[in-house]
Amino acid sequence: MIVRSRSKRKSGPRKSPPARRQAESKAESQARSTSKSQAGSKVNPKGAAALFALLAAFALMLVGLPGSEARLARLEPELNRQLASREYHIDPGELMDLMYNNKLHLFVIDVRDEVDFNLFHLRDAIWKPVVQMSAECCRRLRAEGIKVVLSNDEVRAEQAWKHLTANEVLNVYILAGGVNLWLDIYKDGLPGPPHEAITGVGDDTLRHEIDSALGHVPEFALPPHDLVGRREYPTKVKVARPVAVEGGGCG
Amino acid sequence: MSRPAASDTPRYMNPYLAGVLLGLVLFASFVVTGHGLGASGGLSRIAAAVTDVVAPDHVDRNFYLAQMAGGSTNPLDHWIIWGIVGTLLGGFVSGLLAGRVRPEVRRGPRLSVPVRLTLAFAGGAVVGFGARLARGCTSGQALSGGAVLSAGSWAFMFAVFAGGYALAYFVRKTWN
Amino acid sequence: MAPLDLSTLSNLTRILIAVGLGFGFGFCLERAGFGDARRLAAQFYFTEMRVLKVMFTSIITAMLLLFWGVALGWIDYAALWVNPTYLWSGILGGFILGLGFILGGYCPGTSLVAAATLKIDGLVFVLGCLAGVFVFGEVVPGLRGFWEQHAFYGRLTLADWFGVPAGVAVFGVMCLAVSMFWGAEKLEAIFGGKARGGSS
Repeated sequence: MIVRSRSKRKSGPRKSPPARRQAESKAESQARSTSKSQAGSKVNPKGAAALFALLAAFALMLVGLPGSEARLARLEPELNRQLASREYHIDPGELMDLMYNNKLHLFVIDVRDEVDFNLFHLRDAIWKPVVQMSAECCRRLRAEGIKVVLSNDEVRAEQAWKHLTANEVLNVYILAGGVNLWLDIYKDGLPGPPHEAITGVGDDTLRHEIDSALGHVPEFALPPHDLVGRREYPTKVKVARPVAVEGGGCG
Repeated sequence: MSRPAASDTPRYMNPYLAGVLLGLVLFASFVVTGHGLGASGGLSRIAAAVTDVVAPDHVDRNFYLAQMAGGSTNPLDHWIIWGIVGTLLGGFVSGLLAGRVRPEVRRGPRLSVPVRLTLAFAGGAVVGFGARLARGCTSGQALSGGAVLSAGSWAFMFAVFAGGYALAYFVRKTWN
Repeated sequence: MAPLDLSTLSNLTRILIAVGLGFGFGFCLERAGFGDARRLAAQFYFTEMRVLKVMFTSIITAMLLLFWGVALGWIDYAALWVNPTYLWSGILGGFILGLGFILGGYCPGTSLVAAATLKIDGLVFVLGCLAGVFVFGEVVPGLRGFWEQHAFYGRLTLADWFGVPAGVAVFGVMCLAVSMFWGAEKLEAIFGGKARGGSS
């Protein structure tokens, strides 16, 4: 009780002239001992503070926080650097190993247009064209799991990667060489270049001739299990490791 | 001013006011360093440092310890250690200003000192274990994570209160 | 733009910053009475709801300031450390911590403050914490799969979880906090009023 009344007196608004102080303090103590929400001059400081805090939060809700475009613009230099170093571009062999790895959740996200997607796409790939990506789509993807974005070469996949990463989606990777390289290796049976030689250069059009909409039916949508581990590559996917701010957290 | 007896009520700051001040410190921490406060991580590092002196190979083979102290990594070279130093200083200075620094054992009225100290050790061990399992304690997870809306931190905070209230009835005689 | 880039500062400056923030932390905790196990334990008997009041007030203060800073473009939210969500290790660890809290009367931060003001039980609690974290270090390799991967959601915020904009989540937390304060005051009046020689 002592602490409470002290705080009330501290936040009392007016200064009474000395002449009236005695009468005033008597009235104050009377007001204190009766209901807090007396009509008129006595303001409950706790109530006022709570109201202020609620209003501040309400105003914040109306004002809103900066959108993903602003965030992307701010993060762009660092994201471009990461793309140039290709630390998030994974080998087709690594993607295949991930597809057969039962221990983790994998999301293959195909960001090409609908025509290409219908002609051929990887088994269980999700279709999300990069032009349709919004902040909304990212919310559902933010859960645990490895996300691999792919396009025919790498142009749109890199755009999608930047968008997702800027929206704080973790564990996003890009299929190096895209669908074109995938089909080279798993449809045409070519060995493909060593991983370091994959440049992903291309205008993102499908090079392979596919006469009808095969979808994920062909065998090369999920190559047979005995091909796992056939291709050598540097492992780039780090499973279940959050991107940590330097030295952040409780140690 | 005469020294207050241990049972007297010290004049602590209004909890809401203390909360605002603490919130300002928390805010400053985020603005200046990008992260919040913490404590249990520092204790974990201290334990790892001691283990590293006694059994360095064991540390290298244990993935959790190796993260902090593997090889030649110094586990004490981390901001949280200095944060703990600051926390000790801050607590001491505040206590000194208020005349609250004196050796005593805070305990419930029915408890003897040896029992209280045993419970303190046991409680500390349980807290230490739980804190590292949760990757943080009330300062690192609940306060810091809570302020930035981390879902796991909020879940953690409610779990802490749940645990405390769950056991409170059974240990009520030790506090009341 | 905040958070600031500290890489240009000297090691000593960064150490002083960490010490300074810790100092503020410890100072406020002691001011609030959290260097005293009896005050902390009282929370769980409803006689004194200090822990709840201080914790929630500090969270909403920092939260409001941070998110207003983000809204005004002064703070980069993506650069702030948001504790990653490991849902079940967090809940289980939190529950265990709660058990230890009411058993021993402190949590790690408050026990440091208690030790700093020469509370022997606080010091012993800190030693207990060191033992506890040591045991954890020995046990965790056996739990590695659970601890590192189970229910890991990464940087998941309340806004993501409930599918609302961050501003709405902030407002929701504010409403929760205010109603908890209201409840705390009521509980204190009911239970704390049964005076045991002025436990305010």
